[in-house]
Amino acid sequence: MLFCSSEFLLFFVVVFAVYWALPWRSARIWLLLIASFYFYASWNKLLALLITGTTVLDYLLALGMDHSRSHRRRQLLLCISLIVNLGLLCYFKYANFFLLSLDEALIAAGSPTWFRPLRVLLPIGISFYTFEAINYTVDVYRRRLPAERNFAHFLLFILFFPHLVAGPIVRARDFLPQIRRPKRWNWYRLHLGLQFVLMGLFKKLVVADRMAWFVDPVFADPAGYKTGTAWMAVIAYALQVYGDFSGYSDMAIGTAHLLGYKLAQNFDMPFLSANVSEFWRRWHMSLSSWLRDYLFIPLGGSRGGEWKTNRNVFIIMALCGLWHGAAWPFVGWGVVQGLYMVIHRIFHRFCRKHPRLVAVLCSPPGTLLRVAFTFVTFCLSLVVFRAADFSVAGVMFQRLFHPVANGQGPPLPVLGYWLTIGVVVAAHLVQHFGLWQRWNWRLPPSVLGAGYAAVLMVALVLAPNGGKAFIYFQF
Amino acid sequence: MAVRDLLAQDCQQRADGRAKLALLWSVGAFLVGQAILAYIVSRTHPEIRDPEFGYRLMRLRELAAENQQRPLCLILGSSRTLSGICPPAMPPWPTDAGPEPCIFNFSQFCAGPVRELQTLRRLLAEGHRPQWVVLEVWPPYWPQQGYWFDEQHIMQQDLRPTDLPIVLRYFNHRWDALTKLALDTLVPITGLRSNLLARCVGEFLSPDQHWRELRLLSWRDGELSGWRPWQEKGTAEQFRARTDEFRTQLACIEYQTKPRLDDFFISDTTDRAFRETLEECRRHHIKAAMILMPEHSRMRSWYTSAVLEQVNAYLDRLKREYQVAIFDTRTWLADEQFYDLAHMDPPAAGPFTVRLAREMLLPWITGKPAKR
Repeated sequence: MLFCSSEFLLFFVVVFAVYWALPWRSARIWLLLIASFYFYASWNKLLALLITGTTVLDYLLALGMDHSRSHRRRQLLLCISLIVNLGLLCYFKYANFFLLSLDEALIAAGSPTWFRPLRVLLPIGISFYTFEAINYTVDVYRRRLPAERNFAHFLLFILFFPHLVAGPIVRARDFLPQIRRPKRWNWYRLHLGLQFVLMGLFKKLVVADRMAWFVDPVFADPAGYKTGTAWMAVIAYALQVYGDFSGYSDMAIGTAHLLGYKLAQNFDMPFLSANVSEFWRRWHMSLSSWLRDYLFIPLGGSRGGEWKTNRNVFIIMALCGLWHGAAWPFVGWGVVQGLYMVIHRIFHRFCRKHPRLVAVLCSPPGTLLRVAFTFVTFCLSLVVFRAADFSVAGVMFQRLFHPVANGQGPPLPVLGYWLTIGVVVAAHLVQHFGLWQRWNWRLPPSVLGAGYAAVLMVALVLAPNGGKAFIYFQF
Repeated sequence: MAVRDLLAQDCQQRADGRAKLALLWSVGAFLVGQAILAYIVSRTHPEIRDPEFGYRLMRLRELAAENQQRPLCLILGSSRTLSGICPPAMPPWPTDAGPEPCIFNFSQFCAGPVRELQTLRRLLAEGHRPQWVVLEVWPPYWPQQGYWFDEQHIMQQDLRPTDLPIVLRYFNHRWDALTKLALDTLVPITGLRSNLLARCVGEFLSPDQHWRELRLLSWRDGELSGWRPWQEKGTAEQFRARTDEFRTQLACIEYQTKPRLDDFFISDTTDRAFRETLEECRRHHIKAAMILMPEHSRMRSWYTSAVLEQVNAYLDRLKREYQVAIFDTRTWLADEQFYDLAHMDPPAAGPFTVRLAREMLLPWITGKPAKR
C-alpha cells in the first residue's frame, strides 16, 4: 500500500474519520494499532507477526532493564535485545550478501562454488524499525528514558504506520510522550499536515517519478549514451532520490500530523549545503543523528584526536552505506561519503590557518561555488549507489569524464527535465529566503486553497501510470 | 488570564480560522476544477476523454450543423464496418428519392453489440436523432467471450453517467466498472491525465504512454465521414510483403475468432443488447437495419452449417419481431480484396459501398426496390 495510491487514500480516510470520531484516547490508540498492523500486513502477514514479536520482546527486555539494579543484568538484557534486533536485520537483509561475498572470495581463491542463496523475504522497513527499537532499549539501558509500561503505547511507537516502512527514524523519547498526550481536533494542524502531504505527493509524483524516466534507461546501458545525457541522468538521479525519499518523509510527517502526532524532520534542503558535513546534517537527518548518537559517540566520537575522529567518521559512513543496502555498491557509496567527510575535515583544518581563503569561500560567489561543488560530488557518489555493480559504475564514470560523439541523446524530450529542475530550484529558493512562511501567513486563505488544489491537480496529471514504489522501501 | 495568554489564544484562534478557510477553499477549488474539466471534456474537447469517440463526435456535430435539413443515417459497428463503409463513395442520390441523407460511419474498434448500444445511447443523449441506423452484426461477438468480449474493450475507454444502465445490466465486473465510472465522472483528472497530457503537452507523457499522442493524431486527422481506411500496418502490398508479420496477423485473427465459432452460441448479453438497441430505435422512430459485413473465404469456412443455421434463424427472428432489414454481404468480396482475414483493403471499400448503397441502402431508405 503506497502512500500515493488510491488504496492508501481509502485506508487513510477511513482511519482518519474513525480516529477523530472516537471520543476515548485508548480506543484511538488501539485503532491506530489495528490500522498499522493492517497496513503492514497488506504486504506480508507473517512478517507483520515477526515485527510484532520482536516488539513484544523489546518491551519485556526494556521493562526488565528498568526494574533491574544489577548493571550486569541490564547489560545482558541489552545484549539480548541488540543480538535479536541486529541478528534479524542481518539474517533478513545481509545473510545472502555475506554468503555470496564469501562464495565469490572462495571461487576467486580457486575453491568450487558451494553457496546457494537463502530464500529469504526482506521485511519491508526492517532497517528503520530495528533502529527505532535499538534507540529505545539503549536509552532505557542508559537510564535516559524510563521503560514504557503501557504495552499498547510501545507497540504503537514501533508500528505507527506513517513511519513504519521508510522512516523518519523516530526516537522513543520524542514519540512516547506524544502518545500519552490527549489529542484535540486542530484546524491549524490539519492544515499543516495536508501541506506536508501535498508537498510529499508533488515531490514523489512530479519530481522523483519523472526524473526516473531520464535515469533508468541510461543506467541500464551507460555506454549507449552521450556524455551530456549521462550527466543529465546523474543529476536526475540525485533529484529522484531526493524527491522520492523526502517526498515519502513529508507524507509520513503529514499523515502523522493529521492524526495529532509530530515526527522528526528528515530533510532540510540538503542541496543548498555548502559542504558534505552540512549535507549530512540536512539529508536523512533522522538516520544521521541516530548514527551520531548510537554509533559515532559510543565509538569515541571526536574525543580521541583528529586521526581517531576521522577513523570514526569513516566507519560510520561506510556502515551508513551498508545500512542502505546489502550490496557492495552501497558499501562503496558509504566509503566514498566517508572519504568526502574526512577530506572535508582535513580541508576545514587547513582553512582555519588561512583566513583569506575562508573569506573568499564564504563570500556569496564562494558559497555558490561550494554549494555547486557539494551537489556535484554528491551526484557523482550516487553513480556508485545507483549502478547495478562496480563495472556499470565504471562505464558510467568513463562516459561522464571521457566525452564521446556517438551515443544516444536523452531518452525523452528534455522540456520536462528542465522544467522539473526549475521547479526544484525555485522551491528551494522560496524556502531558503523564508518566502513560504511569509506567504503562508499573508496570502488570503482563498489564494492558498486554490494553490493547494492546483498543486494537487498538477501532481495527479503528471503522476506516472500505475505508480512507482519508493526507492527507500528496499532499505 | 494574563495578557500574553490572551494574545496567544487570539493568535491560535486566528491561525485556526485561516487554516479552516484555506482547507475549505482548497476542497472547493479542487471540486470546481474537476467540474470545469468535466465540462470541457464533455462539451468542447471530447477527444480528451476518448480520441476515437471524441474526434468523431466532433465531426458528427459539424456534419449535423452543416446539414441541418438533411436526415442522418448512422452506421454503427466494429473496425470491419469502420474500414468497409465509405460514405464519400456513395453514388449520387436520386433526385426523386427525397432529401439526401447525411451518412456518418460511427463504427469503432472492437465494438460488439453492447458497445453499439452504448454508442447509440451516447449519441442520443448528445441530442443526435438519426433517422436510420445500420448496425453491424458479426457472429464471433455473440458468445461474448475471449477477445470478442465487449466489456473488456469498453473498460479500456472512459465511462460516463449515460453508460450506467449498461454497466448495471451488462457488465460482469460491475464493481470495477462502477468505480471507474465514479472516478471518470467525479474526478476526471485521474482517469484522463494521460490523454490530457497527450492533447496538451505530449513531451510530459511517460515513455510507455507515448502511443496516446500518436493515437490522438491518427483520429484527429481522420476522414470527415468517419470512414477509416484500414492501413494499420502500411498498405496491403507492404503488409503482405512482410510475410512473417502478415502470417502472424492472420494466425492472431484465427486464434481470436475461430474458437468463438467452434463453440458458438448466442449469449444472453448479446441477445439483450440487440433487442435493447432495436427497442431504443423503435422508441425514437429510427429505422434500423443489420448488416453482415464481407468475410474472407477462410473465415467463412470456420462457420459450420449448424452455426450458420443458428445465425440465420436468430436474424430472421429479429427481422420478424422488430421489422429490421438484414443486409447480408458476407460473400460480396473476393479474397484478394481483403487486407487481412477481417478487414477490407481500402481500394475495395469504395466499390463495396457503391454496391451496398445501390442494392441495399437506397431501396431500404427510400422504400423503393433496387434498379437492376
